[in-house]
Amino acid sequence: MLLLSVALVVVALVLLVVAGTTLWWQMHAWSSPRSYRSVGFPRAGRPTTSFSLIVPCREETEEVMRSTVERLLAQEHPDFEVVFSVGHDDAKPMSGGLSTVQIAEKLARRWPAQVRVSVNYDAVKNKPRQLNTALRDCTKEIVGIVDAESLTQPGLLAHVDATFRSTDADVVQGAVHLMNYRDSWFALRNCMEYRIWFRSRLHGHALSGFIPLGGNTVFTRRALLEEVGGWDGECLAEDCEIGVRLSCLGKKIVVGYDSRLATQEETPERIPQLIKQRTRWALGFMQVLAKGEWKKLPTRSQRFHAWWTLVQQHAVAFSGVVLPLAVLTGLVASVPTVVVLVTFLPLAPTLTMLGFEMLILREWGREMRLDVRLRDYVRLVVSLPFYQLLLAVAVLRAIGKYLTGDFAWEKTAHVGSHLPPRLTLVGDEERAA
Amino acid sequence: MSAVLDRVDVVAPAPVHPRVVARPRPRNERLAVGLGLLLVGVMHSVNLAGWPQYWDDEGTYYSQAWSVQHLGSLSPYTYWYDHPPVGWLQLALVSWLPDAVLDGSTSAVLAGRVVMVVCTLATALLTYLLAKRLGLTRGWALLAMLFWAVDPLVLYEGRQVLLDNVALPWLLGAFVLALSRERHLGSHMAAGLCFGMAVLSKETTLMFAPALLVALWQSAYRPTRAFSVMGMSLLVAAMGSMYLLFALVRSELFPGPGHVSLWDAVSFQFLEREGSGWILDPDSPEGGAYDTFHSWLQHDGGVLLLGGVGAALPALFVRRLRPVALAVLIAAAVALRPSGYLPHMYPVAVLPFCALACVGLLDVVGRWVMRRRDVALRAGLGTVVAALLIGGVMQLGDWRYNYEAAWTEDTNDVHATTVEYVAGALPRDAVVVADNSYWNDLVDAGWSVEDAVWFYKADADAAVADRLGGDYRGIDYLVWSIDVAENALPVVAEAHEHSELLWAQGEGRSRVEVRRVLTPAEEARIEAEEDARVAAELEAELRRVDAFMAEDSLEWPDLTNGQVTAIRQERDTLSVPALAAKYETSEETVGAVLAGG
Repeated sequence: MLLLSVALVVVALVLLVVAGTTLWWQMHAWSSPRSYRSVGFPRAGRPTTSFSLIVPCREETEEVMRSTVERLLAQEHPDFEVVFSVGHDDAKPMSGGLSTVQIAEKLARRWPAQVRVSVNYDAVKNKPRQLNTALRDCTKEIVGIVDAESLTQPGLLAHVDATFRSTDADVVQGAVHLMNYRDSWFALRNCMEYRIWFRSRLHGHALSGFIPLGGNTVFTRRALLEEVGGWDGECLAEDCEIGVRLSCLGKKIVVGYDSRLATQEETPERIPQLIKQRTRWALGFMQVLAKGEWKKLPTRSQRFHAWWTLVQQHAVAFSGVVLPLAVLTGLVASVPTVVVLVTFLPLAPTLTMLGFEMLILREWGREMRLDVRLRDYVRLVVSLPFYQLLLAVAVLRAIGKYLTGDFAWEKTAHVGSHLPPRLTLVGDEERAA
Repeated sequence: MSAVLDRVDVVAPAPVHPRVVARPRPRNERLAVGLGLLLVGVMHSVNLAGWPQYWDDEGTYYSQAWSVQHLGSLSPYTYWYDHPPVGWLQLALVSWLPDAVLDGSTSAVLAGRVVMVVCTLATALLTYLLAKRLGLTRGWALLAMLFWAVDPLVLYEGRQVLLDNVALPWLLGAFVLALSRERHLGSHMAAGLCFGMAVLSKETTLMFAPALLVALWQSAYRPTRAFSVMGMSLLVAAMGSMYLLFALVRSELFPGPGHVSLWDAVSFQFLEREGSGWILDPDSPEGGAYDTFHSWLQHDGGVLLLGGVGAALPALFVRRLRPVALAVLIAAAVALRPSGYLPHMYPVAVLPFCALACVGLLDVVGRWVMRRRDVALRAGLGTVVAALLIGGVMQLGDWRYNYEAAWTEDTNDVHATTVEYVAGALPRDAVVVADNSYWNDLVDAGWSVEDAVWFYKADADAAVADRLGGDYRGIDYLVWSIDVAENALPVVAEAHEHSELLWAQGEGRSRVEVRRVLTPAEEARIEAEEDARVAAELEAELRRVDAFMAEDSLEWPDLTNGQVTAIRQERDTLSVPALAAKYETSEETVGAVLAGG
């Protein structure tokens, strides 16, 4: 019984630390007036640079690719090109009997001045390899990555341009938002994760001097990419990995956020896809952790921060499962009252975060002009434990794959449910204003 | 773009965010506050053991802290949710230190009082900080701190081992954090934690929640205000839930047979507890709200309390003073409810706010005056402010006698000699019932925690009542102090009726008797002895009367006293000649006897 008590107390205190630090990071943007304000892009000015926008594609439909490229071509910037990055083996007919490669070529013919196709001939296909091939075809000063399934806002490039100019940055990370928050029970949670990540957490990471970059709407100087040899072709979290390397090199990474400039994406359609996506991310983070580049960071606090960033999401996923178990054990087993109380302690930061998430949802709904209703708040609350369970399953899968050395790319399919005009309106209104 | 914001977050080799360079705090400010605290510390600790008189509640909280340290339980008796335990848990955390340092020649409760002085110092410092957060200049802030800390009422209440004194630093800390200049969400959440600690130390501080919310609302950054309110409220709620959970885990949340419950305790405190009348009603019961109120005013003439309430009304209209004004008015409104229980420590928590409201208002008026161009007005109002300050200083003269008492009077000599007598005269295996101010001293003197019994528990605690056999006969000795005399429940009162006085000391409210409870056999023997004594006295008296009657009367030597009495008794039934014939005397003598009667 003593052993059980000690175990419960230890587990509870670990959970408390995990939940507490997560709360602290997630709330960065809302924690002080200064951090609340210091997230935006600088004012857009006269364009001074040029962009190559790589759109990595794999088994995409024409509808998805066309809307992505159309949104890109609508950018209010005079000097940019779009590079479709496809694999030579991507021959599966997607729409109208055309394969992804054929669709890309069709779109390139439609806009020959601005759209090009880069074909990767590697035997093993994954996103970083396609990106490395496409990098060789880029001609402009800045290389940006825009996922095939995402919709960019017209003012994005102009603001990123201004950011490069005014901050002398090496990398500019833009924001991505998931918009189809009502499509499934977990969609809203997924959307909130993105909102919190790009609105808040990333800025906290930026302040700490270590930042795991995202893979979408991220802009890097081409010269720098070529200097570091592009992306790690073996890593499943190539975006995070290159972020680590650039951080270690002391490169200047700037995070810009404005909800009206956020690239819009969609949540995975069903649970297996979500789990696949999360498994890939978790596995990628494990690879990055194992690769050990982060150990080259200059200060101890940065190294600790990097380490914690890379393991924390696994800890969070687990704590979502362990917390209810610990609490239940505390209640059922006849341990001393004080032990039961300690097992409940991690609930305090967890529930506080849940309260904050409701406010974040409210703020997001207002900024994006979404019709957030009571049932959405209810869903946000009710879905928490189940969503945690999904994340834990994904991490467990990742651990399994890591131990068996299975690093194959599991891509998530996109159906384009973010395309209804209701969502694109956000950008249109911004342009009108 | 309207959302152009001032800067962006950057990861860069060199830190690009200029750290806010803290303005170095002037050394003389630290010196002034340090000296002020020194003064407060001295004022509150001189003659700490002698004044004021130890009383029941002090011993209760101290014994509960002792119990946490030594018995691993929240109370030497069944913990019955009278108050949340966090207050004496904190006391337990630190009181061992003074306990170890003090030599044991004084009451154990003194260790608790030392902790109270520390609490008072913390509260004083936090009052100063809160005054500065309210926009008072250094001088006014220092004045607010001292106004509170040197007030005789604060001196009186602040020295006593009360949960309110423990809760006070947390309460003020919550306000300081809610009004923090950085307006950091972390500070606001910490304010919630502090307020939770205050409420769990003394539940009545919950009434200040609206004032704290106003403070937070005013101070929080508007776009993230909802987060601040949510963070603070959720943490307060989380801490409150821990208390509920504690009761739940012990299966004592709801009432049931054979156990205490939080539910019962709350309904006792708020519903069943007998009201003590209206605070302004002179006809309210003796020792009730009216008397309690006047006892507060006795200490300082009501300067702090009435002044605070008076200042709070206008201060409500000054934005920056609104939180403290609201705190004062809430406490006043609660005290003014028509009938409710009003304990004597009730004003403890509100007094710092009273000081802040008074001094804050002076600050506001002072600033307003200094901005006027009109010289006459400035002079006039300046005079008023100066007069108030001078009046305040004059008040110190009036308070001289209170200070004198506080620093020199030994009101606990009876307590000490009682402990000495009890320790010397009573057997250690005897059950001694006393008020709780004696409890730890009894335990220190060698009584077991079962045999030293707090007088309430002989009636109110089922476990203790069982141990005592269900009636007064389980009690061996009573230490009959004023607290016991005024609050004894039936069993102890009965024990008192069946007891004999062994020892007594002190006068009036400080009188203490040590009494032995008699066994029925002893009582029967004593009763028989008494009966025999009365019978013997009666017989002796009769014999004395008989002898007297047989003696010759001094006035009429031919008659005995018995005959004189008989003549007078028979005057209505027999004529004078018949009486003369019957008692063989002359008619003249009979006439004289009758005339003399």
